[in-house]
Amino acid sequence: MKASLIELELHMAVQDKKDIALSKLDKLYGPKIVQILKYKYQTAARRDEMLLLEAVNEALLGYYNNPGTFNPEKYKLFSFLLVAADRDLQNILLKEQKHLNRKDLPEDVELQENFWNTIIKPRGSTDDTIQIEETMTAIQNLLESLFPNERDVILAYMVLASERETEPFSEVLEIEGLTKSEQRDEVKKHKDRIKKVLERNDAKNGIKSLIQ
Amino acid sequence: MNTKLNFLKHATTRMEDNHEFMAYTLKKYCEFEKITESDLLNVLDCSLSSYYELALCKAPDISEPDFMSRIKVISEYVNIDTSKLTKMIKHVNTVLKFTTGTGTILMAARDKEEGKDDKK
Repeated sequence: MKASLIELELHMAVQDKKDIALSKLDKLYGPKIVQILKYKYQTAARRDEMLLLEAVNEALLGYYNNPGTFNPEKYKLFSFLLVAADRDLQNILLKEQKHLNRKDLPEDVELQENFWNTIIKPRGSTDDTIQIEETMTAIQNLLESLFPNERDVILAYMVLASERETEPFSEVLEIEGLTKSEQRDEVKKHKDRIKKVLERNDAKNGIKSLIQ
Repeated sequence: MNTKLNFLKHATTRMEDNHEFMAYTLKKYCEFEKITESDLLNVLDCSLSSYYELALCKAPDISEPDFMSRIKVISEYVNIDTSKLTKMIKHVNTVLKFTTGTGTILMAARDKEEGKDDKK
């Protein structure tokens, strides 16, 4: 999927090292990517959210310092950065695993309860990392083909991770200013909409088949 | 603090030692003026979100001819008054110029005129 016009403009600003380029990049993509990773790596996020912030920052700075690594003809910038952050987080978790010198990471427990963790368990070899990256890109492409905007893609990740609380959805929808009951109604409306699209397109099985 | 502010704060902290970025300038201003981050929010009259967005902008060089045009672009982007921003950057640059690596201000050395006392 090609980069959008807004992404192309930002990419050019990054290439030219414009004064506001990194700020725009961080503001536009940082929080969105952190939100997605929170749902894919729930145990790690609960244990230490700094790991996620570190990984996303690493990915965005990596791109900012070497924008030539991104091909706007081939990818959307959002997907490219998400996959990069995912890879960086896996590397951080792998280092942590080696440091702790344990065979069973807490993530193993998550495999039973979190839809996403079947694809994220760090294995360590380069081949595995490449395969995981390809899978991640394919999943991201699938969700982007179903949902026109990035916000809905984040909501889809949350629905697939069975998030039940209203607050995280309110944050993504930026409706924290509404009353609690208004927030609940609004969140329910959006969740139902997302669920319908996912069900209609059999997305859950589609993602599972990509993982296998 | 929500995800957005949390992330921008983390990104700002990472850039605080990089003198090319405003994060460094803001940190130095707080150090020189012995004020906190929230004091600086009042000085600049901006939100926390704008503050972090500013911190992640590149710091324009005051000695370059395009300084004013660059500062204008930044101040419009973060919605902070241009003159407040200019004043702060110039202040930090001036102090940095006269500050040694150890953080002490260099004093101008002068020969004392014979027979004259410092005290008047």
